[in-house]
Amino acid sequence: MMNRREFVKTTAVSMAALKIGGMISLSSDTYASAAVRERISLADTIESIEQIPTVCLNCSTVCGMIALVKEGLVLGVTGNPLDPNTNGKLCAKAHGGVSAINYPERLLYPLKRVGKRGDGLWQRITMDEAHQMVADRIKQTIESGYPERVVFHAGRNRIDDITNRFMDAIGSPVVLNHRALCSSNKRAANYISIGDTDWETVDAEYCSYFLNFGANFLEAHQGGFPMARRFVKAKANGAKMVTFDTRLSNTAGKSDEWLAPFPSSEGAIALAMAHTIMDKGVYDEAFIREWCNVSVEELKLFLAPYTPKFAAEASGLDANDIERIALEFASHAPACAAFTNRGSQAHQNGLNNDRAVIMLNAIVGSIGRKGGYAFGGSKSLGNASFPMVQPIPPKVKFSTDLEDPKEYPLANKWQKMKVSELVFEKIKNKTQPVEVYMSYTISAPQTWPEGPTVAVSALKDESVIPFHVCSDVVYSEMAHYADLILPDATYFERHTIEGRNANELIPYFVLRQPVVALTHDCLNFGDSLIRIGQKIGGKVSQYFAFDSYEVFIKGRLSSLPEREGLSGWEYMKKYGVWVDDKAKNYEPYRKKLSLQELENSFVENEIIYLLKNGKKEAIGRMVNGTALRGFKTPSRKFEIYSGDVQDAARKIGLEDDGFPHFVMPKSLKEIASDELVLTTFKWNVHTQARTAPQKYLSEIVHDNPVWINTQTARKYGIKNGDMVEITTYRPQSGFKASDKKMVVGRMSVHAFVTQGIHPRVIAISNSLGMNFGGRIPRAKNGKKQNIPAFSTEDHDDFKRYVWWDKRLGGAGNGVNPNSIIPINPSPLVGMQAWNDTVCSIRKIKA
Amino acid sequence: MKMSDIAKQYRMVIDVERCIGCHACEVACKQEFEAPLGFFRTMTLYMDTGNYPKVKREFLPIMCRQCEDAACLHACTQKAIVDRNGIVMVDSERCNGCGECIKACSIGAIYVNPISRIAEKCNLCAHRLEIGMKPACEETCVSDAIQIIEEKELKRFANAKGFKNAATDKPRTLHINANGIMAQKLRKGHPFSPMNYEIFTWAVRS
Ligand code: SF4
Ligand code: SF4
Ligand code: SF4
Ligand code: SF4
Repeated sequence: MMNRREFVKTTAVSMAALKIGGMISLSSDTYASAAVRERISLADTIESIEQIPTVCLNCSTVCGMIALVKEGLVLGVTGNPLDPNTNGKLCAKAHGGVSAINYPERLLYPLKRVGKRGDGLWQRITMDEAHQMVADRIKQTIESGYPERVVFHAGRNRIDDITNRFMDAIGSPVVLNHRALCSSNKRAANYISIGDTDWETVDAEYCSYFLNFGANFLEAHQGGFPMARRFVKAKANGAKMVTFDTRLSNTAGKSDEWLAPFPSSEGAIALAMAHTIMDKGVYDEAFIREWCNVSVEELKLFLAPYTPKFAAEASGLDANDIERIALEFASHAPACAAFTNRGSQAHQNGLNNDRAVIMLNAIVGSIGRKGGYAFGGSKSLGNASFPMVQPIPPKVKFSTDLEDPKEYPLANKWQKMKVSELVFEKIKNKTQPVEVYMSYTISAPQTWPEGPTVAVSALKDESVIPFHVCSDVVYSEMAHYADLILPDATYFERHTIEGRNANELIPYFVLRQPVVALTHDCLNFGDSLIRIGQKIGGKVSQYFAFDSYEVFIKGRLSSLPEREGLSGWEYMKKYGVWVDDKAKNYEPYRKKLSLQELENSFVENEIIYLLKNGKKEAIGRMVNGTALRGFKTPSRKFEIYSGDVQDAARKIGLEDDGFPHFVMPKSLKEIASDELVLTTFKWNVHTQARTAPQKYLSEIVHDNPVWINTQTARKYGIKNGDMVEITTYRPQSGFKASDKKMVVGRMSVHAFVTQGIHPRVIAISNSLGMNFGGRIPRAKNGKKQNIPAFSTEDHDDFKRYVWWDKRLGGAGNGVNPNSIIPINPSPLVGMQAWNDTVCSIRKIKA
Repeated sequence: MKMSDIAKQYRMVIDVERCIGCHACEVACKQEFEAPLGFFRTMTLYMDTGNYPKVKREFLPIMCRQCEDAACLHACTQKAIVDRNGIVMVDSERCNGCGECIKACSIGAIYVNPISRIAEKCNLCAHRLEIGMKPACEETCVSDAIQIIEEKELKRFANAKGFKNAATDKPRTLHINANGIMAQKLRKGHPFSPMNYEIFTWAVRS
């Protein structure tokens, strides 16, 4: 075979490092001088590559991966075949993520703000000074008697073992997240119905009928990738998929049938399907009788008004299709699954939409069955599996309005889901004063509804956020508004105990470990917290009496048994994956309780209880004289009726009979005939905010025109590529409700005219339209700015070949639709109603 | 072991029905070779067909088809393109970047790397095959849509066909259920266009 000398030349910038105390401006125009060196590709060196198991984190699915390393450089990645979820497969994002390590615009030094906040003027300091600064601020705040004024805000935080420890240690309950922007209605619907605290796990490989309400699992993350793999196998074996989605996603496009309902009507469709299934007598009577908390008669009574005709009116679909699909679905039971995601849950009525869909599985008896709507096979990654290092700080016992707004009583009932989209509004209003704001893995200006306006105005205002420390890998939309930036480790340079919902229904976990050394001053944020904790001193430092996050993780894994003569830690470092020796967890509710579990228990109304600290805690149910585990709901049954929901609704003065009724959100019910609904979505090559700098991903998707149906476009005289102005309005119910068409914002964007979207819906994807983060996310060719806070690397690619740069006639870097999407928390849970935005459009001249 | 010592004849078979359009194959491929932006050994093409509400989306992973009697090989002025083990490959020592091969290929599967000035195209990841590994694209493909097999196994794939864009094409890489209309996204003599990624190009031109 020939000599493969297919080197790609890469230029490395030779540059004097910024001296301590030196100042830089991150809006400077000065360019670095480049020296050329050659860089080896994976293809040149595959025979002698070093393979190190670790875990991808380019999205939240955390797939087991093997880094392919040569001389301290990660040249590529491949899937870890031992990972039971993904069997050695990786998505495009995983490969694109490699470029994050030597990204030319990566942050290398801690930077202290010197100009006005948001002006981009910075001074390099040492990591030790930076940690001392944070420690001093926090110490002062604790000493002032208000530890809750220290706020921690994270997005895809996978190291909550150390971040929660830190917040407990300093005594602040204010841990904020992004759950309500993501999946809180879906999770709440699962908790209410089946009492499970993880994502449900369709047993996709064995499923023969996929009834999909708004999940784009072939593209978007949130655990979709392992399901995609199993779906393709099932499809090859003849499985059918029907997708309800307002937009032709890849998932919809790959389905046997795509039906586009009017937004928010998913619940009506599901209820009508349930109605049909009950009406035609094709339900699983035994399951309903044994396991549901309502009888067949009660169920029929509840479903009576929800006829296919009713659903047809709400959704615009054909009643015959709804009936036909319902019966097809039921005929595949129990190897069939009805499931959801943002298409159905990101609405004001999303909670009941999702409850209605999940209920379909109960009435046909596919809950927990082979090929059905499974759940509960995952490993908990908390203290129970991997004990935290002693001493453990006590949990903070009080809460504040920031992380626990009482007007959303279901937000934190089962799990701390929070109502993230309200946080910046609350900070601005000083409902809960803030002294220190720590941000990590979050890019609120980019990803929050009204992020570019509301989040930015709070972040900029020193009177409401006196001190903001941000740990990040690139100079991000968030870092720009910090007072102190800590250069973080990429996910290739740190440890984490990881795992997701087990698609094989057998508990497993994976270990992320560093595959290359950290460069310059970069440090894992977990390590920063340990050092800050040590510097705070006093009672706080006792909880950080270890050297590093690695030592902490090693300690947590010390309880693992030996395998193959290796300690748990060594085993995990060698293989990266651990699968428990257990059977598939089908029908977990039918598990018998052991004598040990039943010790000191008592039975009331067939529910088995234990007394814990004087409180009754249900642990199972008696079924035909046997003690079974049941569902982890109050009744230990599948709950169609929910007392919890009824109580929560009463607390905020809402009428609710506890059943998952369908109510169209007011804005959508009263939408004028010339108005449309703006929705938003994700691409298969991007996550919300962290992938735009990755060149091979942004090369594929860098632009996000607004999708408009062909017929609609014709009405407005809009052709492909025309500029369209979109005006959005506040919702007519809920937060800042207004009947008067209050404008949220206006945005001009070019049109993508397509057959693949509902005529009353327009869609703009998220993930794009960045202002910071380097040349790739901004679609700007050119030399690298001479900013010594950045990596010493540069690539020819970045200088000349960003072909989508507008100056080369390309499409540019897209827009951020969040400037016009209103903050719109749904009632009870607080999930952001992403897909409810009423708007009007007009064609404008280019 | 050297590839030339192996008697195997490799074939790539792509089952378009399985593909979910995830783009992992092409990103893995670019990472494998540190390929420059704007140039592709392989691309996953998208195509929407039908009218609302009956619309479908199809995908087509497409790369060099390792043609028998390959047009690019004949066009090469430096005898830098050789055919071994079922793989049409560029000898980077001989290639002088003249670009005659580009003009010859009916689908645009070959390009000259603007930085190294050497022609590049899919070579079935010969460097991986020779040490018993799967190509980067096959290894990552979540749907197992891409497979490398040996010629003798071909009979298992009776429904697989070469994707042609000229009557004289003799592709050895085979596709199952590829839609011929996708050819409108490819142009003889022009390397795969990055514009295929712009969603404006997804719909079928009528
Ligand atoms: S799905 Fe997410 S975690 Fe898995 S490989 Fe892709 S980016 Fe990585
Ligand atoms: S990796 Fe596989 S499924 Fe994904 S686009 Fe390529 S061929 Fe299709
Ligand atoms: S597909 Fe094109 S580049 Fe590949 S062998 Fe055939 S003619 Fe040559
Ligand atoms: S076989 Fe190798 S070179 Fe060819 S498309 Fe796949 S990854 Fe690229």
